[in-house]
Amino acid sequence: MTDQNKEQFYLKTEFLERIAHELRGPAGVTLGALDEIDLALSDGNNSIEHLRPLFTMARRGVYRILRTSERLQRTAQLEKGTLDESRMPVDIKGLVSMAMDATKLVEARSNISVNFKPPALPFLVFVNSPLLVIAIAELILNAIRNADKKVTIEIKKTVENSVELWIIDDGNGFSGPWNRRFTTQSRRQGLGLSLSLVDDVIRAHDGNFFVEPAIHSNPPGARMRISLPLVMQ
Amino acid sequence: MTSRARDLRILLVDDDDDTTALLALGLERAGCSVEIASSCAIASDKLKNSVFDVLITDANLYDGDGLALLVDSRPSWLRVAVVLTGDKRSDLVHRSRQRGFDDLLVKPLVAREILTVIFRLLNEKELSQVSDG
Repeated sequence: MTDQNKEQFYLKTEFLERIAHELRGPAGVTLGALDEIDLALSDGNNSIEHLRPLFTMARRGVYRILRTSERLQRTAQLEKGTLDESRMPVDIKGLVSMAMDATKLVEARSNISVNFKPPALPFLVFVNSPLLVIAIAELILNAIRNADKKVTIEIKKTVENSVELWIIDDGNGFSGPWNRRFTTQSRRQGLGLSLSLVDDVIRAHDGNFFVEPAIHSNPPGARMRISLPLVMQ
Repeated sequence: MTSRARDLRILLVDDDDDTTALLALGLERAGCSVEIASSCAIASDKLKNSVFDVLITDANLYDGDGLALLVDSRPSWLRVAVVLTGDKRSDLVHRSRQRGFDDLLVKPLVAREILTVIFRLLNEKELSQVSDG
């Protein structure tokens, strides 16, 4: 086996392991919630209100599984190279709002506030909207997972006629092993399934994706930033 | 199972809120007293300041490695320590043993399955103490 084949084999097996891992978590939550609903109904003393949080958990588990399915589908779309057929100019603010709505279906950490003050002016980018919404939602979900109390989303125009989207959390930053993997040459191996997809989506739109693990920063927290070329008006 | 579980103080560590809520629900119904930690940092703090009979931790936490919770030393009061993982790789099994964990369990799991393992481990420890004594 050549070095390139070994690398491809490694990435493939890691990808499959990651998919298996990402399916097990929500499947376990769904099964657990259904078990609890079954027990509560057998008991006969539980009101519908008592059961509602369990239904919410089961539904969230299914949405998380569907999210993994959608990511796989979009990854396949990127691999096929069919992106350009469906690109159009859209305001990035609208994409952020749609992504924020999408995260509410799958995220259980309701104590984390997500703060987004949209700029007054539109910032048009030439993109495949569903793909961008998934990519932005992945970043928001990662930030919510890492956050202590809040996630901040900012949109900034740069001098190079591009727009930057910053997603910042106030957690402890990425852990040591993550940080090490970000700095290796095989950077993608450390990005995880969701951030690898973000990287692919943004590159396919002629943009850039950066992660600052920011372990020692003050204030603490990780920062993720995507930049995309602006449509000239 | 309920009467045996009544005295158990459990520290449950996982960064998935739904997972911890469901497991805590089942463990508490069985009579256990459960404290939840959603990160390595919170769990370390609780291990330093409180006493637990059982530690149940996810291997992969967003702020670090769940196995590192016992990296310095395993507290003498901790009777059982188990790791939850989505993937029972042989290197993880080996590392968890090295770090002082008693068993490694593959998700998805419900509370009664975890309790079965905890009681088996407690029985084994009691038997080993009797034979040592």
